[in-house]
Amino acid sequence: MIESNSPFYDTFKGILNTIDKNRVQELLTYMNTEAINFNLFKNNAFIERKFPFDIIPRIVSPSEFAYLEKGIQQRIYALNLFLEDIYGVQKILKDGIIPSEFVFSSKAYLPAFANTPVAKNIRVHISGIDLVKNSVGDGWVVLEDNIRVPSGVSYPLSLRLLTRKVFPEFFEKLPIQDVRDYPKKLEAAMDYVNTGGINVILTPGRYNSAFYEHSYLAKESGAILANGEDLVVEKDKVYLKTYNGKKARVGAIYRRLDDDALDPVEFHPDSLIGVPNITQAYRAGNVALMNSIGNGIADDKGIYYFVPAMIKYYMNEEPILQNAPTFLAFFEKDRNHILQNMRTLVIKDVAEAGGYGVVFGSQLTKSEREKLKDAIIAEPRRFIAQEVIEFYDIECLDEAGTFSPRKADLRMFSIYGKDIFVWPGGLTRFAMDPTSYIVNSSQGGGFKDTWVLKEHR
Amino acid sequence: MKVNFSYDFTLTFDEPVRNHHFCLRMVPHTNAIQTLLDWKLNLNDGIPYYQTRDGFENHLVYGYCGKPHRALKANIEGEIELSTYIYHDQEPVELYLPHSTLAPLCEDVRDFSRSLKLPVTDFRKAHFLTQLLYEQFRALEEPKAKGIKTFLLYKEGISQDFSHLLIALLRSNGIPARFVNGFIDGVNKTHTWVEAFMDGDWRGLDPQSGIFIHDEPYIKIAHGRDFSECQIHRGSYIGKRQHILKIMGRIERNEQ
Repeated sequence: MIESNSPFYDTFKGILNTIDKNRVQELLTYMNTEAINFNLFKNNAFIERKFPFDIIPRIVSPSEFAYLEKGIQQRIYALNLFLEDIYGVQKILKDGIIPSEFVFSSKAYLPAFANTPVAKNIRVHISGIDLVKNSVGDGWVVLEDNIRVPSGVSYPLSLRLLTRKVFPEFFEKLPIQDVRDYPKKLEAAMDYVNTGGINVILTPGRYNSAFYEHSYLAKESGAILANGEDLVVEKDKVYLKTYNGKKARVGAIYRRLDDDALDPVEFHPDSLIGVPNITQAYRAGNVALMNSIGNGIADDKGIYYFVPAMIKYYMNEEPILQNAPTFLAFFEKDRNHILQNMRTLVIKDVAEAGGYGVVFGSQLTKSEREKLKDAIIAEPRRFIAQEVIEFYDIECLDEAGTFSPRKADLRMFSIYGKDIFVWPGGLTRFAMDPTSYIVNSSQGGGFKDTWVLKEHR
Repeated sequence: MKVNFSYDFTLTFDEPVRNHHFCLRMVPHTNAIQTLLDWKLNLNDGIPYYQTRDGFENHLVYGYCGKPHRALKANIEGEIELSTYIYHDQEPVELYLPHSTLAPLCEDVRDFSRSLKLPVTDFRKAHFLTQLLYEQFRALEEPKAKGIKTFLLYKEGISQDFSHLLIALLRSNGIPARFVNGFIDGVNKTHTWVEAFMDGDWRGLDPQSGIFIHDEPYIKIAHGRDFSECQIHRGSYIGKRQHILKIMGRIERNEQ
């Protein structure tokens, strides 16, 4: 089913029809010169690839955005409280809301960082929550809370800037919310948690799939873009080595490296892209890391199940956004349900991300299904299963110039600084294959901009 | 019991290394069974160091030496008050029940565990397993191969292997267990042992000696779910990888 309930899609198409098709080509050329890439690793080879995009935006009405904004703020607030708790007194475990063995058996829980205070008690500085709009009941459903190193904000942002240039008429005729202040909000959040010194964006380097974004955000937020080797821990503080040999104290780091790669002295010893002993400076409270170390436990696909309960527990509120109906193989009752309903469920390996380790039970052969069953029985903690959500298709303009439907999700970004800012835009990802439900960029999906409309003046 | 202790750590390199960042766990853990009364830490060539603690309350000493050097030497001396090895702390006990990377519940451990006829109570089980490791496994000075599987196969290994296997066996029998790094008198290596949680307390088990630690002078430095979380030394430097690690611990009873 196609999501086109908004009358604004008609307005959009009306304007699109009046547009000279050559200008569409102009937009494509601009996007190519901007070199908006999403690097892929496929069969162990490195492919630098254009991130395919579609010019038709997802349009979000003012009331819909207001609802999403409230829901995301509530969710992020609760997840942050959960992390403060789980790396602190662990009240939620003592009160039996989440089974403690469920947390302690997760590789994402890092007890070596228990009782490490973080600047301003903020741990979820940057988040990218993935949602889909259910075609049954029209409600938004959260699929994943990405609160480690979510990427993707720069793609719709760049596309927006170019679309404004090439098709100004959309922006004259439709009340579209401006999104250009994202880097400024990032800067404000970095300043807010900064422990003294400059702001830095720490990138794994140009082979990373989101390097384009790291450089874009650095340029626009005024932070210095640095590789691991540009930073050094001296005494108990972090410094940036500058080209003239001087060193500048670093107070906040928006790090685009996973925990595991962050520090070869603390985590993976073979990491060449990290900063040795940066975790000790962090433990000593001399640098703010965005996001904090150990956040993985809160966006663990298994912990996801408990987020609605967290909202009730910490905030005494009803959750605004819903979860997809989820079963945890960890619980015997759920496990039996999964084993009996393999054909209709999506089974996810909690240790994987980016669309890897996601299996549709209906697409498995009998022997594959049996193999997966054995794996679930052997390691129940590793698997969750979800009912397939019939989420909306969204229209894309294909090469022939006709509209064709694709499954699409929405990643909404928020920045937690002085307060929780939900960006009035978002990365809409669609599946390239018309029959596929998997929209992840790392699985070859494409993207669209997301236009949030303002109330009529 | 008050004792004086000294602990030497020496890391030597075949060729000079530089840009050396290190993190050492050398300062004894402070808890209900040992009170650190006095201590002094020195690094060679006056290399400065800084301190912090990890989530297990282990004391970390870290620092940086940029210029080329052939050795990192650290010495700690001090006085410590030891009491009977039965205590509890604030950490959640359940943290130490799930299996961890270096103490996994692999097929080999499961099979080995099944082949044993274990007594009923936790306490007796722990005692039985500690004794069993002491009697059936041989201690090596230098590691021949890594991991719990080869340890089970060859029935010989280093201190860590003893501790990891005991931990895996205890956990698979529902007894929370953690890995301890520390030292005893005169042993030319770091000594490791195990703490098991039984009847509301942590108790020390040394599978290499086959004993429940009671009043023997064992000085604990750090603990974690397994070795990976409480290594004595971690570092990163530019230079060849070959290095030699020497450790010497001394404990003397303070006769006052």
